[in-house]
Amino acid sequence: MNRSSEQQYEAWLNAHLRGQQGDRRAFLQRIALLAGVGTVSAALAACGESAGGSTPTAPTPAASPAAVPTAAASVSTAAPAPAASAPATTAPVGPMPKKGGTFTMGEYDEPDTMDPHRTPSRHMWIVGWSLYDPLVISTDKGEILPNLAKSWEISADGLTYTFKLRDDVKFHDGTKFDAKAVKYNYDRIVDPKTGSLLSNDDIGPYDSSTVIDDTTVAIKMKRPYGPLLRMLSLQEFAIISPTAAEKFGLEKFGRNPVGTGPFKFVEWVAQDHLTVAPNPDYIWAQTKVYSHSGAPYLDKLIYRFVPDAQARIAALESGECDAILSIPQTEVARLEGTGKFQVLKFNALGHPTAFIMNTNKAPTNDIAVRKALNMGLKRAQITSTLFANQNTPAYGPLSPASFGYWKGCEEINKYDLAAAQKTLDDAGWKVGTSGSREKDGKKATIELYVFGANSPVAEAVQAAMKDLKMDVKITAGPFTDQKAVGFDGRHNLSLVTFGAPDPRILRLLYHSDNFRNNGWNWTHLKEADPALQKQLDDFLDAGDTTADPAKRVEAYTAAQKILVDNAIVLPVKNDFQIVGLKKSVQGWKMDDQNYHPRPYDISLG
Amino acid sequence: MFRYLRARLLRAVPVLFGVSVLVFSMLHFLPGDPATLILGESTAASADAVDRLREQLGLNAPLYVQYWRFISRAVRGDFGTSVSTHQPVTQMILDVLPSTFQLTFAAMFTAIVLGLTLGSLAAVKQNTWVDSLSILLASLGVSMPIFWFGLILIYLFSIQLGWFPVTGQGGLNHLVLPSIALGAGATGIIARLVRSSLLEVLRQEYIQTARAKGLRDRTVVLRHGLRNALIPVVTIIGLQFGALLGGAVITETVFSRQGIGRLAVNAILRKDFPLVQGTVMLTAVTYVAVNLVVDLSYALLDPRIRYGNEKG
Repeated sequence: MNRSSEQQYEAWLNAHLRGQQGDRRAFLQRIALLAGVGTVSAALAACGESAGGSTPTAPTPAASPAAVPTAAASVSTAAPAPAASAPATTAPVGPMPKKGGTFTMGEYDEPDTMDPHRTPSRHMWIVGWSLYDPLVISTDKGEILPNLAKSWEISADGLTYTFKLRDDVKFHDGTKFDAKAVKYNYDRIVDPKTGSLLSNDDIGPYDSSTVIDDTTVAIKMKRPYGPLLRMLSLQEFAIISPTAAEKFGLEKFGRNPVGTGPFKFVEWVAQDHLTVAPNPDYIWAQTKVYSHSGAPYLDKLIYRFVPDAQARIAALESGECDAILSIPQTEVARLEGTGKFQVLKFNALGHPTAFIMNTNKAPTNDIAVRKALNMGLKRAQITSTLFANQNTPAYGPLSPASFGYWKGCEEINKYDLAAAQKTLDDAGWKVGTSGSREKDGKKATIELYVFGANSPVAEAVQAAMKDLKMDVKITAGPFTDQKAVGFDGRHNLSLVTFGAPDPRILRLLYHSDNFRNNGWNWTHLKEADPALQKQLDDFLDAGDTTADPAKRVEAYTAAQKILVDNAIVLPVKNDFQIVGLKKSVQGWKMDDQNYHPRPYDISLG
Repeated sequence: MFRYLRARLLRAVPVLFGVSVLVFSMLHFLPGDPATLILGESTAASADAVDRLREQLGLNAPLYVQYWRFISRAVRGDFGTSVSTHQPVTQMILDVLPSTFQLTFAAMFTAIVLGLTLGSLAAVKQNTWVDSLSILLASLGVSMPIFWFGLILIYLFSIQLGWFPVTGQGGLNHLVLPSIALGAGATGIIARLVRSSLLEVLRQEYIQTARAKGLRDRTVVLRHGLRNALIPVVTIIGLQFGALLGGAVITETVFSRQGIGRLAVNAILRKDFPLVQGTVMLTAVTYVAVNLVVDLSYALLDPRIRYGNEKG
């Protein structure tokens, strides 16, 4: 039901069946899962292709961070560039898309519910882009554009957002979309009875919605909230039909979804497939995001739930699926080698796979140690040996595809073993008689924590630190322990991966508000250096309160600089959603998070 | 026979009671508060949300009250509402149960047919190449991991030959590969048991008598031999049924089939306790029921058991 449980499902699949998938919003410790075959799956070793399998292949040219644009979505593919990888703004490419046909997309799990306001499941988001439209929509460059809203104004105090709505939009049940529907939706999200697990948090300091007339609605916030438009563009704020929501009630709407999207719901067979059919009335596509308007090209779209990664690939190869999501890194080279498929890689947004450092526990309370760890980690070796070069080295606390990514981290944290050793020597951490570094008679032992499953990334870091003569002790614990370990400060390094649509994720992991019992901030910076924590808080607050993109970039850049300059995080690798398509498929698009496909433009040739 | 049935049914009651206590207390064995655990990973989990969920799950009542509520609803087939999908647990289980039964029975059928054939051939042609081949196949069947064998079958028959679909359910063609993959282990076990059991029976004097009467070899083996060799085999079939239910989880995942195994694993990982309780309880009931049926058929096959009980 919650985000992390999806990962655990993956972990289980990994453990039993190899293969790995990504996750949506909170794929915390995904790395542990990607790699998570370690402890449980000795029996699978025979298969020789565990997620963290060590079969290095030739590096793909596009896999270096330098090739990844700093802004928003980036697509890289080692196969000849297919039409589908062209950015939405420059589509269409190729001949007129073919009309008709059934398109089957293989996904690894089904949504828990199709009620967008109740679930944090990324599987709902994947299907959601066929059934629902949000009020505003984001391009793959992170630009917010009108969708069900025609335009909007933000009051000078940043508290009131007044949206002008389209008046030609109908829900799938024939009822009209209007200001009342918008109010109904947002009020529903914050209503405790709805039991929302994500949207009620992401809507921030929402106060109320006021219907001004049929096509005008004013949304009032309790305090300025910068990410609001960005948030409203996500599937968790999709607009559902109030009539249907009332008719089916909270318990049944999730299985009888009614929205305004390009496809209408047809059927959902549990654990098997979910089918949608085109919405012939769909004339409200945002043409800067999509390359056509009117009804979708397809006759039918089937989301097929195929949990096992190998079976998913088999379904693509046998022709049962036209597209599959979440391909294991180690399968990419083979699939590309067949020459029969388009293999696309999409850099996930949010926090990369990284270790959060405890700044208040020896030896990582010493900035020299933290900096040395960052400089002494040969990330490219990890991504090539463990992930077949299908991930890229990460140097900062945001993925390069994220809005506001600060490139400066790549220089500061670049691999330089000599400099790392010198930093340690200068700080008084000398190699002692035991062969390990020590200072004032104390050995520099790093306590490294991973959760969910043992991770080869942990072992890779342990091995890399041998070059620095630093001892690393690995502890693997269950997911349920991670926040307690983080808050108690038992760790020096604690592994985290947190996919997120907005740099606001930094607030969750680094703001002192979240340094609390059951919180996500494990840096202990508030204890170690309250002044620096305050400085960081101010920038994170600034990024959170302003809606001006330039100012937000400024604030988050400053925050990233603090995190990198003070080496509060040890980034390891950036994660990718890897997609396989039949050669003939055209019009494939991902949403602005590079994770969930938007199927409206897809055609079969 | 009726008395035997009644005795067996009565014996199932304490078993089911024990299972229900275990299933119920699972939630409470876990460290920490179940509501917090369920909401634990959510960043938005406020104290309010935890309280609401505690209320919804009825966690505020004393344990024995909670158990009474659980069991009194359970006997009426109501396991509450899933906390992840917000659907009635019973409905979710009923949606996928036919698929699991289909798969289990198909796998059992495959295992019985193949197992009997291989085992009988091996026994009749003892110490020939037929015997060796049968035993080799049986050993392979037992030792191959289901997911691996399943993927090999997919590779051969779906990708290379294109005979069967990779995913989903529906027609008989969707059932062929999964039932072979799932039934392979049971096939091996049954084949080996049939072989040894039949070899033993064929050494009995009444078989020699039958042969001496001039009966055809086929009649001797099938009517006099196999029938008597079947009793231990039936027991094993019953036990294997449980193993098949377990293996169904993997098979369902590899072949993307609906099923109670997938449902249970998903429920565990989503910390969806009502759903876990429902699926585990139901699996236990199925297991008990199947063993009951096996014991009854045992009695049918072997009059000694029947009469022995009626006398007692």
